[in-house]
Amino acid sequence: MMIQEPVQAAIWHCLNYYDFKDAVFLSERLCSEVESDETIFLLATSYFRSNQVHQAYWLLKEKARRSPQCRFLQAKCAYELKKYAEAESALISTGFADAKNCDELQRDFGDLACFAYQLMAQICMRTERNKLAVSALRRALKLNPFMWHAFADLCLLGQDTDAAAIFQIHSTDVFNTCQGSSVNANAMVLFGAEQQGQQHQERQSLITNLSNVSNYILTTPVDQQQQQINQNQNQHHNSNMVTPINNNNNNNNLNSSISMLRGGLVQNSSMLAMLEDTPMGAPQDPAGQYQQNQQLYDMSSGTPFRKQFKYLSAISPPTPSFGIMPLTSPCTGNDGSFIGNHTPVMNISYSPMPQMLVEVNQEPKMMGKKLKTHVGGLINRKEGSLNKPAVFTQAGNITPRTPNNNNVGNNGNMNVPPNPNAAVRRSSRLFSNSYSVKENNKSPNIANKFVQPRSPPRKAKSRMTKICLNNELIEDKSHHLSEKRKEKVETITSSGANNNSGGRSAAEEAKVLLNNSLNNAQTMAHQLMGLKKQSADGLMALLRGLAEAYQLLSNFQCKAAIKQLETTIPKHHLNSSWVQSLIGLARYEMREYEAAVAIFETIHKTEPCRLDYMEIYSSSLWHLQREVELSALAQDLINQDKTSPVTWCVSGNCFSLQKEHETAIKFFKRAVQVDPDFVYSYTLLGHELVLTEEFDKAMDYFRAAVVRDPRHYNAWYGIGTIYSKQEKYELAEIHYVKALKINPQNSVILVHIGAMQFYMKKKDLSLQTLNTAATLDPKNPLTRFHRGSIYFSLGKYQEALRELEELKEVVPKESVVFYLIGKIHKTLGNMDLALMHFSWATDLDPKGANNQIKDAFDSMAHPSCCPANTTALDVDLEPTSERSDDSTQAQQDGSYDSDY
Amino acid sequence: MAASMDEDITANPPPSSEEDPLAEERLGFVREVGAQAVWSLSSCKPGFGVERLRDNIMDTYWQSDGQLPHLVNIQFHKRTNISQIYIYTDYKLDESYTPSRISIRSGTNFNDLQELQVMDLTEPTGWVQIPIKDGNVKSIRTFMLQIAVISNHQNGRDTHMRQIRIHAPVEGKHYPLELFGKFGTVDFQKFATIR
Repeated sequence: MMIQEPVQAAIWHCLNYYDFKDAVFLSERLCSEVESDETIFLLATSYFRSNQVHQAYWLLKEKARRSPQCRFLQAKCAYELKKYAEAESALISTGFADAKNCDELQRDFGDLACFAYQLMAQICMRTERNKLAVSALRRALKLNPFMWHAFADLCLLGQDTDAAAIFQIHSTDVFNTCQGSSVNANAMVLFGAEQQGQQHQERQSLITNLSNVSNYILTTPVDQQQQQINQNQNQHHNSNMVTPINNNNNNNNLNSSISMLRGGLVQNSSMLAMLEDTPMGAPQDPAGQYQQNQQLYDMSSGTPFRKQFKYLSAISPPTPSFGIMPLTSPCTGNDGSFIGNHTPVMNISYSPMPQMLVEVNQEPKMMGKKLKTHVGGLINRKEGSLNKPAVFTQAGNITPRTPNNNNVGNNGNMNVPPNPNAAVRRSSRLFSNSYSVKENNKSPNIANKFVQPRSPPRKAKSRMTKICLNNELIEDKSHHLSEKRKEKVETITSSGANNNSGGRSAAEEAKVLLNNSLNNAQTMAHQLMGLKKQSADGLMALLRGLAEAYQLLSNFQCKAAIKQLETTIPKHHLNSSWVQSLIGLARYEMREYEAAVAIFETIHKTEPCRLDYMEIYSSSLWHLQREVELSALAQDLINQDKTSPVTWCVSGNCFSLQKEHETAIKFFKRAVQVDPDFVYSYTLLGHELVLTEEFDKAMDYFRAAVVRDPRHYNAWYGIGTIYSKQEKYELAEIHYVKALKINPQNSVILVHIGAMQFYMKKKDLSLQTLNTAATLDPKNPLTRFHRGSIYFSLGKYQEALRELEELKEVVPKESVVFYLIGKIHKTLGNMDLALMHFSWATDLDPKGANNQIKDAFDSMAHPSCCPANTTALDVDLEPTSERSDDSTQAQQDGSYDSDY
Repeated sequence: MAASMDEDITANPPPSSEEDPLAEERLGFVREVGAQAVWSLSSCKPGFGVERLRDNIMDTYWQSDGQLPHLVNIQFHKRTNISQIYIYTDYKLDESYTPSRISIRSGTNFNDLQELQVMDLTEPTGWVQIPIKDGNVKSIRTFMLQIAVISNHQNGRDTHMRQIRIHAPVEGKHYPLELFGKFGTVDFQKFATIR
């Protein structure tokens, strides 16, 4: 196992820097060499990240390993391949989930249990066992409150949950499941006779190397996880959410502006997180690292076990379980006191790391590559932000330091820097210069955290190193050791450490060292835990606010959701695209399409490549009949991403607005093909087929939508619309009521229910329903219009006239309103008023879409009171087809002819 | 009815350049329903069949290969409301293949077709609109339409037709919330439906 370690490290290195081809190649070679749980898992992970899900699934199934990591990844692959039964049997030994053996998951998977529960919940949702899904999601959130999407799924299932209770860290035990294994700081090992100088220095060197390796592995997956999230984004429904990286971009802009305004090299941020951190006297560097770790968990459900495995890749042999590892505290504490007191030691130790894997003569090339990597990181940061070039241009003198300020601000805002590894070192240098000597003494203790897990394999590592190194390596290493010795001397002198010249005995000296190491260990542990809890609490507070709003929005209480977002969310988060998207969605659901369009327009300008909720933007434009903007949006998205269902939904809406329904249907079908799980495309396709009166096909698609998301009220409304057009009013009312139960705030559904009740001869009930709709949404003109129409049919002409006259003030250009008023006056015998209103109706609708107006207008040219009254009453008392109406007119003409 | 038919025989076709079925479809008052029907022809030259009539390409055409009259049969799966038929033909290109007299028939099946009207074409170039009337009603509900080419220009035997589009009126009156007609303003329309 020792022999595999550098190969595994090389493979993880390839994975961390997105070189999946080499990772797959090397993993296959390693698997052929030695087949074990570790190597199989590593190969399957390489396949999975290369999007070769079939191959990963086949490998895990064929080898049938029972380790938790392999079983989890097998279930994950099976789920993505839609083999839900096999995914379930991979997670549960009995092959079928129920309330009893769900407890089994927590024992079997340990630190992975929260993700196993989440995956189990998703499987249960697919197989329509929502009770079990809810239970599993709650367990997952209990184990790991950082899992936002588990909470989002609970909201989608219509569960009322207490967000304040979920997003709360009750004890530090959750860190074990949130961040993987942690070291028991209280474990003690006898302080042995290992104080010999040479051996001591060698151990220190090895520990430092391991620490650097660990830092490398820990920090680089951030961007890789983001990429994977993008690949998996299509799995989510309309509730798809942005990754914190996007928040980071916005905050970068904000922080750059603040830095420019203040002109300071070191940013004095008024942000809450910064203020909370500063009094502790701790540098931002380690806090940023912890927040970064938490962001990792937020972004991907796969991170913790991969991270844990990366620890394993640096440690061997692996223990049967991933529990607590022993700690040789005295030695580590003693070493830590030296390492921590002198940060540059770690920087210098960084360079020997490549020696583990490459020849001495290649070392300069490796260093060159690393420098290029950092430069590339800087360039990427510049390109990633539209404002940054301006900042650099305007404040040229402070250009080299601006990235540090941004990174500091990002850490304070709990966002992940684009290049965390570089940021950490720069921040470290920055703060070591800024802090007083006293504070400097405290900060080194935190760095020791990363040293401890590597201490157990020290001896084995040392032996392997000796075997592998050649003469040149030994000489070079001796040189480095000499340099370190000098620096340590300087450190002791500058820090005023114990003086040997005091004449104390060796025994007393050893005793003092032991006490110091004990104190350091305890203080360090407390500080670490405090910092962890502090940064986690900050994130939890933000998540509580977002969760409250998200839950209100998923229950369609849109006003309350917007109020919650605007009052409890900090400004820099409120202005992020994800939160603004939620507000835009809420505006859309309230039918405030102008406001929704304004919000989405801003989002599309600042982040043109962002696809989330662009389909809602296009539907808002569709309602407002803005063809040009909708066409431009469709063009933009087609140029960006042809593999997203959002793109084809937008294009379909564009052609639908232009009345080219066949083309729109083609595009909506393409959206369904691209992502069969995107529910909204089914609904849009159904609506389009209703417009072409292909009701059977439309019904199929609406039903497909409600199968995928039973709370998709839009599809239930669509089914009701089909029945209403087929004049099956009872069925229509049933489905409209079903839609209304899901979204009680929608007045459009209430108006439709009122219309159905009217046609079922329940006129009083219809009036009640319309009154409810008018109270709920005073801005909906259809409630007044239909109320007036019903009053007219009931013979209450004065009430009808009052309603319609008020409506005329609100919407002065609607010809149908004038037409209806004209009919009322005609019935009342006020011919001059009737003619006046018919004339206005004709003027407002010159294209003659409403043939009834022309017919009514023409019939007025031949006054005949009694037949007209009869005609009007007949028309309004019964639903009539166009043919029947014309027949009535024909009869009237006939009677006129006979008179003549 | 007879008098009405006589009047149609003598009527001149409207100017072609003013008629565009696609523009009418885009206005939203009519929609194209030909795709919902089963099309068949009395005869066709190999490679010049139904697909040429329905490909939206004006350069391709149906060419008959039999005795007059040449028939285009359009059978719908359900009773469908029909208001207009558009035929694209071009005398400059087709010359003696251009139809000169067309009869429109409707019914339930082949055995009970009733002739609705006969239309004479005089050197048509472009779209020709044939409004469908049954007495005073401006549309018909039918299972089957038949377009018969009775004669061609210059006494040609076979005929060319480049495109045929069938229009149905958008039936706003069937939608319960639009009993009094379609709403014309955005303020009304955006509250009329959910999307």
